[in-house]
Amino acid sequence: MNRNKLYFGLLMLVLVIVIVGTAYEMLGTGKQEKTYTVSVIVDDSNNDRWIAMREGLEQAARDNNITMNYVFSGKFASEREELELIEREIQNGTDGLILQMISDSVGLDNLNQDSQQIAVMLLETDVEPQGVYAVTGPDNKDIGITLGETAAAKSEIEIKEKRIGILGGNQAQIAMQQRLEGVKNALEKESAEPLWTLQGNSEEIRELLPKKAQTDPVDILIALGNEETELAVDFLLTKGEEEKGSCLLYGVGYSEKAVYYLDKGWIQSLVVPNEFNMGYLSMEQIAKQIQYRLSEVQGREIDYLVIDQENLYEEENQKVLFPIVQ
Amino acid sequence: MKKMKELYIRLISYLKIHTRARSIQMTIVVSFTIISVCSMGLLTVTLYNRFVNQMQEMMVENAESLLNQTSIKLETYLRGMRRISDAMYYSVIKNTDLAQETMDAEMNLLYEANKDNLISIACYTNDGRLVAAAPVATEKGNSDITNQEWFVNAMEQMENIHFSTPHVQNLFDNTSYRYYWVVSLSRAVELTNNGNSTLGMLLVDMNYSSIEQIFTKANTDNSSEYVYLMDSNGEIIYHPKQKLIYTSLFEENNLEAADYLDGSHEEVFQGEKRLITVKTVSYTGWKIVSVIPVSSINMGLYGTRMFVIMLAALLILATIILNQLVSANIVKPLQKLNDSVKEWESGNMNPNIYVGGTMEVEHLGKTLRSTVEQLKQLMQDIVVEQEEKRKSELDALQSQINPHFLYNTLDSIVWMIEGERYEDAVFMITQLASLFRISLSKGKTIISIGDEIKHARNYMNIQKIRYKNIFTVDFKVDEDILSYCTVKLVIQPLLENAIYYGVEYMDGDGEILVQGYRKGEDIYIEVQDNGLGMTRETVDQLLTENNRVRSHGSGVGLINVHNRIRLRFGEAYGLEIESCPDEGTTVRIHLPGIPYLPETVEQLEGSRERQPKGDQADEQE
Repeated sequence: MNRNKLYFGLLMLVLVIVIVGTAYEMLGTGKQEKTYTVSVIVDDSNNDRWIAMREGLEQAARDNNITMNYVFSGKFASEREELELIEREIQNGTDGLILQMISDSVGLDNLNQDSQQIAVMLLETDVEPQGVYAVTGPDNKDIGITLGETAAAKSEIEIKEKRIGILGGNQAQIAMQQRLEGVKNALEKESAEPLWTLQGNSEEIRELLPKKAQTDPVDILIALGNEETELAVDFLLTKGEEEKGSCLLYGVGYSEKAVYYLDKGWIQSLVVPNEFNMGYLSMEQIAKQIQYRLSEVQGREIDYLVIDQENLYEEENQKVLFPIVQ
Repeated sequence: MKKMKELYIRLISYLKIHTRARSIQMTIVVSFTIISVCSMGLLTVTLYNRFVNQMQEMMVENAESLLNQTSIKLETYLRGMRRISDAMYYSVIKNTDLAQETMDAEMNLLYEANKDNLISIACYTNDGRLVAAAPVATEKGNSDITNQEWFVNAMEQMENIHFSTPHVQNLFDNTSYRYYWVVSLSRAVELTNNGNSTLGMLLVDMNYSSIEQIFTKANTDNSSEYVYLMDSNGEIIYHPKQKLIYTSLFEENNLEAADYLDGSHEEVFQGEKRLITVKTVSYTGWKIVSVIPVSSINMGLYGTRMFVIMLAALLILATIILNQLVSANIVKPLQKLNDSVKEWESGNMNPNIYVGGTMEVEHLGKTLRSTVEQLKQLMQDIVVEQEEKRKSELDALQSQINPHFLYNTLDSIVWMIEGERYEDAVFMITQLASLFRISLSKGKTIISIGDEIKHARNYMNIQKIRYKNIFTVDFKVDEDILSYCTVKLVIQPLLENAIYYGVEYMDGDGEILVQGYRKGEDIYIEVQDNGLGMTRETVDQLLTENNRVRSHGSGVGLINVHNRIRLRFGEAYGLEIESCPDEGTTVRIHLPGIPYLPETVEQLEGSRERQPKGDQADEQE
């Protein structure tokens, strides 16, 4: 009899728990799922080079119910300027940060104690000390090697016979350092050596390049970043159509301008990292970290294409190169 | 099959074991609850499934409606584009002799009128030379027109208008670095040059954004349902996750869906069940596909499912409580009746039998009550009868003593008279008279120990004369026990036995000692002889009814005394015998210590037997 009472009591208890549980769940159904905010801070945010990446970021934000705050920024004059922007976003209560750092020594850890709690994903390039934050970007050294090897492969005579100039760009970035290292390694394999390497920000290079090209003219220009590629094209255009082909340009580029001049024959080959994937995967990863409260998140390596005039309009390349939304 | 049978047998045996000896209420509650839960469960599941099916049908209808609207918009757009192509061909190209005039003005006019949806209109000769284009633009030098897909397709089937899949336009130079995604509408045309007809190609590049806008509107919903567009070969024209598909971050089942006919289908793609609705766009053969993951329907139904479960749980709870109340109402009178029976069973001969509840239970109660009354009466009758029987038995036992004793005494007197011992005879008769006076005691069976000792002395005086003093008798009786009760004539039979079986045939002097003393609450009177004694086996048989040894006298003395004491005072009292061959025998009378008072005597005379020892004090009080 006592056992019957126990069973009866247990049954009633189970039913009450089910009723309370389902009522709680019903009340919870109407509630809006919490939306997290992720701020994206990149150098010169309105630059055309970010169009594909932004498309990827937006798509991932939509798919993962994230409010994306694509922070407007001009060209950062200093790392301090970028840090202030990051600090402002942290103070505004952002849940995650996707950052493209202009320098490898920004000292993110000293920024704000709160930043330890905020999910951070770096784009394209790591910062010192390396490996602390997740990075979504291409294998930069491999990009450098590919650039060097492409230049060597397309050279009519042995590349060691050619004069090579490298636009190293912002060497404060680890990515650019790795690309430069990759190019040099590839050239070394061919026993070639760059005649010169220009480093610095775009303004400095814009100023230095014509002078250097005049004093030490080169047959091949290798540009390690989109901006450097565009600068090199601008420089070559100043020489006029007649000089087209006198200096072959190989570069890393994502912007429509870079693609356009590849199409026009001013650029021999472009190495194009899949920026859409970089945007999508970085946002997707950080969304997972925030929503599932993961202690850390893994960065993802993205692929890249080597494009020249011949394969520019191939169906598969079109799909990656040209943004659909105009 | 064998396992199923085994399982069935095990289940049945389990139920048989566990449903045995359940209370009526439990049986009613469990049965009603099982039936109710099963019925409600079945009803709930059926209704829920019906609801889900209706929901799915509704969603499919909504999807079809959305597809129809999207299809109409798309067809309108594509019809517009075809009209431009037709207008260009039939109104401009066919009426223009290229040797004499250009078609630029009309082409520009058409372009301007539709430039929101167009990227460009261009006319080429069959070897890829540009005839005219709007807007006016520089042709790219490196474009191989004749190898482009739209050109090849139009040339292969000249009678048709061809729609390409989306691609980046690669015809004109755009110094603003813009590259447009277009869907090319191409057709082979007849160009007139100096009156001669030549083959040409008319190309209308539709802005892909226009198609995208139509579908973006159809995909504004944030749910996981979506609509996409593909050509008849399954090549995706629009997809909300197009770029993800292009970069292999997302996969669509488009190649399989290309074979689906118009209407609704169910498919499982990457382990996910989906409802697919297909609508073919006229003329182009393009297919608009709506995808509804079943999981999204389920997610939408989550709240409903919770509500259904809650409702079912509430109903079950209410049913169980109701079952409890109803069954309690039915069972309570039965339980009360059962409690009455239990009370009766436990020994209460006057149980309060419950009469009430439903008609049947009330009838049962009444019947039981009358049965109990009848039984009680019957029991009382039996008790009276037994009492009578015992009384008559007691009387019979009592009466056994008188002839036995009388026979012995008269035998002694006869023996004296024959021996001319008249003084002894007179003494004996005097003693006999005293003995009979005590024996009679006005018909009482309970006398004082003092009278009983006196009676014993009278008896021994007679016997001593008869046996010529071959033995000695000594009475050592405590004075304070003389005023206590005893059943009369209990010592004399013991003395008789002591003489007959103890000292009569002894060679030496027989000694008989009568002692009376009190020990605790009880009184003991011992008759001790130094006679022949008995073996233990004989002692054990002495107080049993069926082992009477009748060698002298009636032979019923000891057992008579024993039974009389027990009948009067209880099983705890009676005789105790200790004997050893050649050493003698001690017979001990064990009596309760009851003072000889008129009221106690009266009470003892009236009772069948004494209550247990514990109640003795109460009686004395």
